[in-house]
Amino acid sequence: MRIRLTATSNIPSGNPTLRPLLEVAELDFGRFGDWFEVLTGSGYQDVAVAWVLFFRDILAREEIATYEFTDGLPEALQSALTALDQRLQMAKTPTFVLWSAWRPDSLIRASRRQTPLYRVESRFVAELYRRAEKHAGLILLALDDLFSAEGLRRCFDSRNYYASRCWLSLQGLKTLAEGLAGLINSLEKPTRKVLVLDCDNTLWGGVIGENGLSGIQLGQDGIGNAYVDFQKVARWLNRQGILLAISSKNEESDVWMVFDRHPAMVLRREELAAYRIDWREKTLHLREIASELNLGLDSLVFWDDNALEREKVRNALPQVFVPEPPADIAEWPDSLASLDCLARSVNTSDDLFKNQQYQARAAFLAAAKQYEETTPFLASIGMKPRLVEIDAATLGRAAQLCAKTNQFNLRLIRHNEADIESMLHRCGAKGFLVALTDKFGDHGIIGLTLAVATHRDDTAFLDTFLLSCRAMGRHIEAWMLARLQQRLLQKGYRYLLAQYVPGERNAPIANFLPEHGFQPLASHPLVEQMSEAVDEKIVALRSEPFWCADLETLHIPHLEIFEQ
Amino acid sequence: MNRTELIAVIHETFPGAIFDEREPGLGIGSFPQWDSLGNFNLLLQVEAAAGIRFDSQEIAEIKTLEGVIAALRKRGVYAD
Repeated sequence: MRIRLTATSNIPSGNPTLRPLLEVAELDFGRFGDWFEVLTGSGYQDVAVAWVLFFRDILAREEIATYEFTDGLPEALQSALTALDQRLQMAKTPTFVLWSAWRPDSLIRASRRQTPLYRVESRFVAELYRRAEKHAGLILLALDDLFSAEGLRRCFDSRNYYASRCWLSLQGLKTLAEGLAGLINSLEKPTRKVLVLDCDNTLWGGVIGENGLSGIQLGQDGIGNAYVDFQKVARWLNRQGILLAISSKNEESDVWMVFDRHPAMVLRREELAAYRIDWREKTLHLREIASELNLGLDSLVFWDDNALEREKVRNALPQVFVPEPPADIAEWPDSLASLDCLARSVNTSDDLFKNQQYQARAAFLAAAKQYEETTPFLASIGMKPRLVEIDAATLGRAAQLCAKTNQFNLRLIRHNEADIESMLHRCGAKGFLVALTDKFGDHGIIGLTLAVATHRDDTAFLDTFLLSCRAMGRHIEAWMLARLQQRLLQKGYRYLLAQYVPGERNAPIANFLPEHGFQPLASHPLVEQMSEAVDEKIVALRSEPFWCADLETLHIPHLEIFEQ
Repeated sequence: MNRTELIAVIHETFPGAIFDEREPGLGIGSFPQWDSLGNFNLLLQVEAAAGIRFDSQEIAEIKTLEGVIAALRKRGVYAD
């Protein structure tokens, strides 16, 4: 990602502490103090901008001394927000806002009454988050929260300001660079989806097979409570959509004895999306867990107290992220809660039910094994796909599916919320989401399709067609295509153009088009007119060949499954 | 610290810079990256490497390797 860094005071380009940022982005520093021009100028709409705002650069102490809560924001901050609004209207790229309101003050001053600065900052931050709700490209970072972990006084150095107009110390610059790099990484790298936990000396202290139920450390006093809190953090992550799994070298009955009978146990069996409890290698456990959940190994985070097990996994399965836990268990709960790779910037309501959805998939796979033929099995499980319109309530889920779906994703286009909204409301795109229930449970919203207009009135282009991996293997794609066919015909379209864009992991959808009635465009009688129908301005085209379906005669297989 | 370690800090601060380590008056202007902002970055790196802190006056006045050495010597953290 190319990023234009701009600040209200100096962030010294070339400082070695900023190098973590250079590993994740191409940085351009521009001129000192040009932030207003960068936010409002039209020349920066195609480049991501990171705007570092120090309140003390634009707001003197005396200016806010008389600030009253009923007032609007002080003029300087209001102007800054107006400049940001201009940027948000124009920008097609992310805008990072990093702000710091801190300045040394006496706490005596705030002992009886909120200081004006505190009230100004609260109001300003509320305004920022209000904008973040509307603009998916706005990403916020409260520098003072980041700096407070290191110590605010260690992160600021007034001497540097008078020497070089830089408020920050070397530590402050390093902390800022690492924080911004973390945010950029979170956009560029997919979030990990599964936390795989060991049991002995991880979920509880001691070894259940040797110490017995009453001999393990869990709850009660002292360090046993740290294990309880560690489990609570795991459950908190689970509530946010991270799946939990167990990989333990143990007797299975011993582990379940703790889950079922220990009074201080926090996690419950039903909160586990998968588990492997036996004496085989953990690398095998992890492969099987990923396969059972239909996820790549790069979705897994493996937490184990045993350094040898961690090293084995790091060596054999480099795709799995293996954090180095702190030496002291007392630090584990906070350390787990702070893992960036398990944090996501947006949670959708679908995330909250992900656990049940993956358990439903596990039940589906177990039942499928009992049938030799797929079709009778699928016809027997009462699948009820449901069309869900894309609106304010579901737009977040649509963008999330675009960002996270890798395997059954036809063109791998990563639209954000603003893109989808614009396609639907300004460009006349047709599209919908698909939700699914069956006898195994409610799988939530699992599919998205978007078709856009072309230069030919009778031809649409299949911009996006994807299904969450947990819904694969059910022919839901056939149902989704049939509904799209119906909708496009109603809108007067005759032809649907499409293309498959191969990526690292979307081989499962490689044959979708020919298997569902699409013909290579090269052999189509209208090939010449069709080839010119799609404009690069409408969709970012790739060089892969086009396919075409005649919607009036298109015969889609497998639909009988849904007619039972 | 000694001169060799200081030269290493200069290389760390200005990766890729080409200069004559024995140049008398090695400092701001000796090569393009060592400008006034580069000088500020270098002094912060020297502070971190030597475990000392320059005061405001020194930060404003030190502009050469010899100046850095004199300030370190004053604190007793420079070995010839």
